[in-house]
Amino acid sequence: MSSAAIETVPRFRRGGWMFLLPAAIPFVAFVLWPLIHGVALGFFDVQLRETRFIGLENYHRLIGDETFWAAVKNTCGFVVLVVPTVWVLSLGVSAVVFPMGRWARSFFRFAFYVPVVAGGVCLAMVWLWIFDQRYGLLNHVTGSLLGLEFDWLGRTDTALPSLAVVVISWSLGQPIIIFLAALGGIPPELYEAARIDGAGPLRRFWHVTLPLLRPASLFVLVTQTIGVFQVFVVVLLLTVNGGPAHGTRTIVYGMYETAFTPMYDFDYAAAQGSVLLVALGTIAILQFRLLGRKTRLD
Amino acid sequence: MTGFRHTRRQWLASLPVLGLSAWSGCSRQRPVRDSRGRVIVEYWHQPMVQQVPEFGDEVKEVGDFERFLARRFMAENPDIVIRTQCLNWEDLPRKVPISVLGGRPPDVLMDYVGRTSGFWYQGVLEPLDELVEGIEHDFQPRMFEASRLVGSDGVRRLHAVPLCGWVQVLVLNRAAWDSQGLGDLLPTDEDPRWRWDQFETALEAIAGPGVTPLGMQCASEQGDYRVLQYFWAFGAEVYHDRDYSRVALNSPQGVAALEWLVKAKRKGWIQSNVATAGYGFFDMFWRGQTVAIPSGVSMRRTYENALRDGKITADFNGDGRVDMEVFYTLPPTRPEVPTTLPVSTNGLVVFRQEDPDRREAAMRFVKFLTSTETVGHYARASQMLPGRKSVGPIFADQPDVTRILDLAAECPVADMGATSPSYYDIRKRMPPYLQSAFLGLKTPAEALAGFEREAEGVLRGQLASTQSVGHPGEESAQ
Repeated sequence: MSSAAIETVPRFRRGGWMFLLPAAIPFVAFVLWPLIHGVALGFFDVQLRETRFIGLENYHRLIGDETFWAAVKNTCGFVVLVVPTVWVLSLGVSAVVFPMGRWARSFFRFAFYVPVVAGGVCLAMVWLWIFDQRYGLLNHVTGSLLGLEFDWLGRTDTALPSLAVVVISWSLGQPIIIFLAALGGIPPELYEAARIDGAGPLRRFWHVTLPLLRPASLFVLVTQTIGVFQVFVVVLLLTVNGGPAHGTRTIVYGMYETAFTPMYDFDYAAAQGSVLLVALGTIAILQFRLLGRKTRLD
Repeated sequence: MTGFRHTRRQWLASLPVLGLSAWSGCSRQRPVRDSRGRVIVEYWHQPMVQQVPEFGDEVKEVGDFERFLARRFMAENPDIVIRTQCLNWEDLPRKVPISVLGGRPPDVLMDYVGRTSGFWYQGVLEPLDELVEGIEHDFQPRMFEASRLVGSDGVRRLHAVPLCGWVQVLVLNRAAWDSQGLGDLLPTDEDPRWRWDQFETALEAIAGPGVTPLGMQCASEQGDYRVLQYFWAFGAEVYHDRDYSRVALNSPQGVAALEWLVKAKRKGWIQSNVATAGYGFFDMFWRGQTVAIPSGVSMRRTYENALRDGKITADFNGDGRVDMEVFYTLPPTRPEVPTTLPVSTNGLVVFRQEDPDRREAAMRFVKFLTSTETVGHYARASQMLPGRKSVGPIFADQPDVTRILDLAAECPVADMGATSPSYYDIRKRMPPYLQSAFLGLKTPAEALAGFEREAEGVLRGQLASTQSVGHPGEESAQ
């Protein structure tokens, strides 16, 4: 190696770091530092004027907090309702749309992605009207067809599933785009070979498409699980304080309420956030372990 | 690589600028004076006053009145500049504590003493006794006492100067009964008090398809005094004998009250969506879907605004004309139970000041805002009870209001624990249990036991925190 090359490498490395700075500075300032600070906050009692170390007291409090456990139960309910449904629906839609022509495919891609672009707040407000007991579209339909009207968001048995429907409606776009792209990456020869071997459409889907979509599925499942564990906007906008009777309260909503409604319990909210962080990390690792064993992510 | 050297140089050159920006952006202290040397005082307030007819176009929107007052004050005090900010009801409980944590609270805040008391217990407010020296007797005793709290030194001090207040009564739309020839079931103008059986008969008579007479909200802690009014009617208490170390709602009277409320909902006397109902029940009142709601005597002003906005559509006999007549009554109580009413106080607080000039300016501004003249303006504009006696009667043109306030003045004040250290923490935990009872998920006894259990946990934690940091846990007499 020449001396010029030896000099260039460290200089290049320094330059590389400089390129990273525009992304790294906001990441450290707005993600990493708040994360560390948030975890640390959980071990303190934060008052408006003073802060004192209290060790694991907040975590002991969490164990006996019925409201927190109700939030955990509801959040898990959301995950169970939303994640598999989104996976199945987005995969199904992608499988139907993929063989269509270029224009039709673009149209459906656009149609399903619109809710992602529209944003959660706009959609939540639209759904609020749909669910309205007196003037809502849903009750108009059920009233006309079945003669039944429900207070969809006012009953504990319908409120959580109703919110899950809203979350599903805006969660489909991204997985569909991912699945369509992944479907395009499957070599057509594999389908030809399967067809020559006498495999019908279902067997081809089961034995060719699904295994080869495993990396995309893993990505969708992990990102959806993380996203749904953080459900917040829909609870804030469609319910009052995660009601009725804590029936729609989620962990993140509980954190928000604990910290920013007049309880000022920032440290306790931070402890809840730390628990969520650990739970999400564990679930993501488990998903990678269980689904990623036979998956080549390259 | 030359390009990198150049970039680094630029970075280095810009470092002082970046540092300066960061320093100015992160600085915890606001400047004391503006460029003209005037002391800056930040005044944040509730959206209490919307329109003041006597000031014409100058006061038409929320926040106009406070700006108008600030201008008048600044004209008399050219060395001070007042910057007003109107916070909406949702921002009030969030923005102020965040501003305190960020080290940049307002200098003066006008809010409900149930909220400001929390700041007092956190030790971030100035005691204001000096502002009322010699004029203590001019303040309404109930409001004045509610504003005096024990400080960290164990001495009771004035944490807020009372501005206005309200007392809860039961507001009826009398036209609902009159239009159906049922007016005899109601109390009279001369004696607007109910007997309990009379109250139930009147509800039974008016309830029907499209009308659930009692308007109620229990979606959140907001307006909880409306539901609690029926607990007080049964003789239940939130706290007993000013003992704020435990809630007393889970009592035989409390269970009986909640059982009555649940039955009332089943009978169609309370709206079916009560578990998730917020302020929407006011609209139900304008539409004639509810006809009796606990509220303050400002209801007539609210009605006039709603009428102007075209919100009133109540029409009980289908003649195409609006049927609405606001009628104030005392909330009913069970036999042998005295009528207990919640009284609320809005006051002005001053956040702790390090700069003596700004402290002095803030105090001067509060003194101006709580002068007899300004309190009178506030009270007339908001139709609330003035905090100072010297304002005189402001409801002279409304004899029914004068009568109901005279009756209310004789009633004991309901103790919601509004100025106790855990007020909001406890208050927030009650609605989910009431909702469980209304939705049939829990029996009234189970719901109140659950609430008591959760409240006990909060109070235990509060007690531990109080002992460790030396905050007093006492509450003033209301």
